[in-house]
Amino acid sequence: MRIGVFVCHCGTNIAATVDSEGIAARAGELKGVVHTEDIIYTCSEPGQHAIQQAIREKNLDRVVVAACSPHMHEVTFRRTVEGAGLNPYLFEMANIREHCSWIHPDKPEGSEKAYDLIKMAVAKVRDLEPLYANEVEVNKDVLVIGGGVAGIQTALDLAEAGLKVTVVEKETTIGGTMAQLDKTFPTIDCSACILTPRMVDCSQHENIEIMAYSEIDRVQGYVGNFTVDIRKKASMVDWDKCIGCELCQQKCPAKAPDAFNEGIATTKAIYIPFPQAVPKKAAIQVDYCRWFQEGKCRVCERVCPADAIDYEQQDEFVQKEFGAIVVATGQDVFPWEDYYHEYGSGRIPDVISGLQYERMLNASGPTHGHVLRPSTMGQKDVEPEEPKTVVFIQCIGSRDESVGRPYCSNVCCMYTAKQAILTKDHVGMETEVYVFYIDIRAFGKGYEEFVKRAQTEFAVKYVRGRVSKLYEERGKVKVRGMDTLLGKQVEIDADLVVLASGITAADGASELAQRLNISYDQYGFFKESHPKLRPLETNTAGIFLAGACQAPKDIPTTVAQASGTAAKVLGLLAKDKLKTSPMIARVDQNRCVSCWKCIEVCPFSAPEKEELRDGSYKSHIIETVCQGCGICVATCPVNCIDLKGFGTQSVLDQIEEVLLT
Amino acid sequence: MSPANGNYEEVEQRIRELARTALEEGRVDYFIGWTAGYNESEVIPGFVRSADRVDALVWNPLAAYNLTAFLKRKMPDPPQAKIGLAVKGCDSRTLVSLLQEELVDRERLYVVGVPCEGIVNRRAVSKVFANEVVKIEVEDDTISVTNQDGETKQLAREEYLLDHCRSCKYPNPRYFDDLAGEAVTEPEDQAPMWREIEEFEALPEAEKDRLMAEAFEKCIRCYACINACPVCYCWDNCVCRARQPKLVSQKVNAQENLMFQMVHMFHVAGRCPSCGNCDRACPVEIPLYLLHRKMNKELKEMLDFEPGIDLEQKPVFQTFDVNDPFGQH
Repeated sequence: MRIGVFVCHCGTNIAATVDSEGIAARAGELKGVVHTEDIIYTCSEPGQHAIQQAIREKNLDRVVVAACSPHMHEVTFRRTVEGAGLNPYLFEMANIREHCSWIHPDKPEGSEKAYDLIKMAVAKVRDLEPLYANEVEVNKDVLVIGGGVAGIQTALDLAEAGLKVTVVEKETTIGGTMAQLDKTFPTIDCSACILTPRMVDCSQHENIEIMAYSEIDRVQGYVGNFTVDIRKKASMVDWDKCIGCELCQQKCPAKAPDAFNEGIATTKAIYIPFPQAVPKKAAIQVDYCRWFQEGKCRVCERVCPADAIDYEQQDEFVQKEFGAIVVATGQDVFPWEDYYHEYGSGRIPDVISGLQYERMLNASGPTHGHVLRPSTMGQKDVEPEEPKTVVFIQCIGSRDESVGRPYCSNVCCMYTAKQAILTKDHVGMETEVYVFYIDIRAFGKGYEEFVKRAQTEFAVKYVRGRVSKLYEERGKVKVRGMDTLLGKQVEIDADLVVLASGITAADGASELAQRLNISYDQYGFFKESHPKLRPLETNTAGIFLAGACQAPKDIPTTVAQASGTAAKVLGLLAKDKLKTSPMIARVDQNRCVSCWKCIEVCPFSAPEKEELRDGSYKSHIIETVCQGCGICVATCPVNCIDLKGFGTQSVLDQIEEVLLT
Repeated sequence: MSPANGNYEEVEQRIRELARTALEEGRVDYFIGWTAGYNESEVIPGFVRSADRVDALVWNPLAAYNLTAFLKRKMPDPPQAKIGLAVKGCDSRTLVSLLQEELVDRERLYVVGVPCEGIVNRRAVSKVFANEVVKIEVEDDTISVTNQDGETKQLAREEYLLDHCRSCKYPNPRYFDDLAGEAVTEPEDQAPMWREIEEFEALPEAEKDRLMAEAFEKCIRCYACINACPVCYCWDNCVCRARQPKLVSQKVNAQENLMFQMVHMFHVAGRCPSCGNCDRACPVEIPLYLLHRKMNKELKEMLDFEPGIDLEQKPVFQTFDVNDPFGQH
């Protein structure tokens, strides 16, 4: 065995606290080591060249590089040794930077630890054997989870590039939150006018299949070859027959809460969320349907001209194969009622959320764009009243550690400015509009100018401070707060209070993340692979992120990210075959006791039962499916599964090397 | 445990009849039951291969052995054999565990379920005399013990049952093809369920360490415990006996011996109902089943899981639910 050890200085990154030169010399004493060298920058061209030269001249058959994290340069050095004719898996990195020099101030101690790390790496390379990569066919179909603006943009970009895309949406229509918005900042263009054409493009595109009212049940497989079980929820309406005429909704006698209008209006038990819905298909909310609850009615069945109603419909399961998955599941509105008891917990009718107000501002919304006080709506003999004083309160469920949301929701400052302007526009310039804020975050293109416009042109009064309490008094909502710039208490009699409720992770986000095997943060937002350098990828190969499921985002950022993600997917799927890592599991069938725990725990379905000549069955790892995660190795009670290039014995040898020598 | 209602003979007859019929009809090639030992103080496993030998089978409160242990290795043996088997409540739970993991072939198995009213702690009973006990008899609530000199002592049955029988929740088998006799009434609430574990848990740390060291100092690494264990199946490939990779040392000292038992405990966790076969097999009398009882107590309290209750159950350590205590951040 001829091992070469190369110790990096990384400029002074390592050399300041580790004696790179000294430990390189000492490493020469280790068993099997025939060449050592210290290099100022090992990853540089001369550094890599020095390694290759040593391999050729000294006939090295194993290489250890003691430098930075393998995350940083393992791939680099594997390529280097391969370039010199050595199998790339006969190489090991010792991390003496992140694990050593950066965290130890003392040079002698740091050097000692670096030497230990090198000893371990040398112990490991002694066990290594050459490994060879496999290739696997790539499925070119893409699954987009979520049909909001992010999912729509990604799907359209991919479909335009010629890939087949399936969009799975949990609601009965695509469109997401953007479909609920009235206008968009900072241009005040109509949200529906710019979104609905995209929704229609999606439904008409030959490469896009929309599966609305469906959810992801199970995800198996790996990059290039995912198998996904999709549950099509029972809508009680045969969508192949439904023509979206809305007759059922008109005649249905049962009222139901209207989620699309954020509960400020009611819809029917059988409903289509909004006129531009895509697909425009009806669904029955069985919890409110008289037939399901009381066993009488069936009005919809009688009026349906297409004979589409099917009370017996069951959830249906579809299995599909994809090469890549884009997660674009968006966000939810922060449920402020559960947290802000000082604002009445939702019991004061004239205190509403920003999204509810958005629906009220919308010309096709329940009030046809008229701004009305909810306390005066829907009552006999009471004429709905327009508010004369409207108060906006910012940072509801954002930048507030007391409700577990220390992050900024990114959009509330801007949508509040927009809604303040629209209030003046809809109700009249004489309306008093106040905005209580902590800081104004107007960071995007044209944003600062937009807020300035609200403050000057529309005379919206911005009060810097937090509202401490809201309560009803003589038909008004008393707003008690603090103007921290003037340093005095403020009290306003408001007709309407709009809470700029922030963005929270979508309901069920963490469960979906577990199904997909991707990470999520403590708030339920999905984690990108690297915040700066890999913002669109997850840590699971082949699964990408788009939109607010990753973090609160406004529409321009979401759309930009969605297109970026489409480009990433295209980059991945441009190849016909993917190289798989050879560092995968292997079964010693002589020792296998056929307990099948490996099959049970494998997230990729890599182990299978293989029939041997004697008729017995033993575990066998399908090489192209195994991702080398090692969970079977840890699970196998007889230890008959080992990870190639990362064997149990080599780990033990490393421990022994550092503890016993 | 309810007092014995003494229908042992009836059940014994029933076991013999079921075994005879199965053998006569060729549904089984041999039947594994209990048979008389070398004297009247002991009942041992017995293999019956022809219908005219079924009268050798017995059933009484000394039938401690969990016969499922004979299934685990190369089931069936020989490969085409069909096996008949008698199981008590706890035995059936180990069988259910094996069936859950497809480690035995249900098609080749004929299971006679035996409702059990508690098994005598033979080890405790035989210590009432300094010399050899030759006969143990159970009549209602009394155990009569006779030694080689013909002296007899009467013991209260309740006090000399196996610990886990006293808090047994499942005296009737959870899985069987035919039940020998009437099912016994299942106790509703067995308090105190974990008495002996709670007593141990309450001890000071140093005392626990001392007791553990004392117990495992004695271990001679004969591996009788894992050979007798119905749900331990690694056999010659046991990581505790393997030299490559060298995960557990074969040195015999308290620390290494405990390590070996810990590996066993975790390997059978969620599959072992603590039937006590390991404990009874131990020649140096280490109270091994306490380890498994402890694991079962944790599984019950943390995950509300009891091993071997039904076939549909998933082995607990192969499942993960975000709502279980391991799933919480």
